[in-house]
Amino acid sequence: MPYVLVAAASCGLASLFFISSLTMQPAAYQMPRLLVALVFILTAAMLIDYAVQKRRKAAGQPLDEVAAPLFAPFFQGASIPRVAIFLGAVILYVVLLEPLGYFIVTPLFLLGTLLYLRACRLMVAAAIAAVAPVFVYFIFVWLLDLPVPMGIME
Amino acid sequence: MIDNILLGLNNVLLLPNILAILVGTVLGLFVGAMPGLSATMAIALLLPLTFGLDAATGISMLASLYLAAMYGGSIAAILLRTPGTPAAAATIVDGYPLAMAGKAGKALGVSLTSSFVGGVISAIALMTIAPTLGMLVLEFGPVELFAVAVLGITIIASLSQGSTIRGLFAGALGLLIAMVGMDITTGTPRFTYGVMNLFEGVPFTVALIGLFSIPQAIRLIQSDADMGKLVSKVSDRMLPTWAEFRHLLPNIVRSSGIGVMTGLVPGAGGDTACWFAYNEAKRFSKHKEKFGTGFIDGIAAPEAANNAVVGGALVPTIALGIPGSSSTAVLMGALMVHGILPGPTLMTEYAGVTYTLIWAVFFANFALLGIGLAFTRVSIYVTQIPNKIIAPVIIVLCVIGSFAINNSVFDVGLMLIFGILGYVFDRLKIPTAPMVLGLILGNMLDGSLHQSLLISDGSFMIFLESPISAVLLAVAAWSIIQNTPAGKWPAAALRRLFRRKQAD
Repeated sequence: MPYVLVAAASCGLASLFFISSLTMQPAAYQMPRLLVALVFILTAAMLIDYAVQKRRKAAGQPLDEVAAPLFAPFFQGASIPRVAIFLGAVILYVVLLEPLGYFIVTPLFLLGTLLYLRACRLMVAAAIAAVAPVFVYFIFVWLLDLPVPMGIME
Repeated sequence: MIDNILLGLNNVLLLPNILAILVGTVLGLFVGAMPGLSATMAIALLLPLTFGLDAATGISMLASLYLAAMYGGSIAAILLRTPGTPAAAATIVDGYPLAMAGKAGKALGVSLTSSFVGGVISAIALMTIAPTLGMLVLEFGPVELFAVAVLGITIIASLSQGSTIRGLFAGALGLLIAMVGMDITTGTPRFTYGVMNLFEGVPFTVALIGLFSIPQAIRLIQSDADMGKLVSKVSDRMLPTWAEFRHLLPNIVRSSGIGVMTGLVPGAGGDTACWFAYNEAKRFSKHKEKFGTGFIDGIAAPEAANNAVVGGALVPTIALGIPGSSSTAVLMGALMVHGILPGPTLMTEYAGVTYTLIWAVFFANFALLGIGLAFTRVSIYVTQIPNKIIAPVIIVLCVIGSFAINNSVFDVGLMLIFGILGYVFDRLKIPTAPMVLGLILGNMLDGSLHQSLLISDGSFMIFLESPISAVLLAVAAWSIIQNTPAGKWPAAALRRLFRRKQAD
């Protein structure tokens, strides 16, 4: 099912790009339209391949190593709540980065995820959460003059 | 050419570049030693750091990291029976039994020495083949460049692990996403939907940080499968004796040749070369029965081959703009970040940077030998850092790195979207390397198509009229067809005919 969803999403994107290209000049739409057609063709080929493998599986025929993963559960071997919570924490980190700033959000993110994942003891997690942001700041800002978002500490 | 080689040598010996090589080597050694972290991910993560450096210095650091990670991968393979990088998979077969026999130092020393020789041979190959190929490419116009870009994507898609259709799909999707932004010919904003941040296109550095690093971080935390601490100390001598080295040399040289040749083929990297070299070493050996029992020949072959891949993979990257592996695709991205377009101009306009990179690959091997001898024992501790500590730190580096590119939180969000897409692709075994290549080559493909059609008054026949372009496109078509049922049928028919003849 996720495979079909990816195919549907890519067809959706290609359709959106095709519709947008209708108002463009020929020089601007030439390449995108070629690629839209290519994405449609390859998505169709992927779905046909999927259907063929599905029929083969239903008939009890052995699947090769390239086709077998298509029928494995999407989160096979992975803890769904852990992946979801970790990703949620990453999204929250990104959302809060600009308003609150690097020096507030990064230690909180590190401490929170390290404790949630039970990666290490509280004191070790606190030490990592305190030292890692300073180290990254040192490399990016002091050494290489690259920006980090400072938020309310601007 | 000699002038450029000397210019590169002069550049590489400048203090910042020497420091960059040393830093890259140390980082590569540690990243390679950590199971689950790949050289590609490390290069992608460190790419934003090169913004603050001179182009030659930044690229030298990344190339050294790539080379050192190949050896670093063997540390985890030998001590933990888990390859630090996919290219070290074959090293486990003999490296781990030797380590369990109390000779971890010897296993690591053979790996280091073989990596050094393999790396030096590949650097020499890079130094001789790349300029020659580069001279040929100087004759290329937009028609041929279009064909080169098409060939690059089709070959990497058809040779990357997994299904060819999925590889091509990822490549096409990457190309389509590369169309977002201002069209350089007409000045029309394409597929930006009023979002100002997209007017300059989707920054491929942001995309590749997301595609390579976020899935890696999630993989590290998604299960409790942490490494068992199998061999945790090295107490014996590391360097092989002169007699051992002399015995290994023919094997190392042969494996290095295999590595260089494998690297030259776009899409086939260290993971292919290590098994290829291991099998050949076994085939040529007088002691086949010793392979798999902790035989040093079985360590030397894959390690020489995977380091030799580096120089080989850089040849098509530098000369043609077709990366030989996902790591070189990211290195190509790093060149483009500094405004250097891979292809004909690399050997002329940007000869200083290119030859510095080539020399950096050469000298990085010496740095690897020295640092490897000094730090291998320390890096054993690195292999023991739990994955669940590394993952959040990777996320912080991804977020801050993608912010630093354009000083924009929008880019961080984009990186995250590509990261989630990369994770979904990873689960569905859709390769991400062709997508990255599509993102990198998209604009070149678009520009060269437009120029070619202007020359031909809109006729696509121009791509078949140029002999070079026709051959390159034929190879591209062949690389796709041979992976389809239609392409497999003639080979199967030939095999049947051959078997029938044999039976008769």
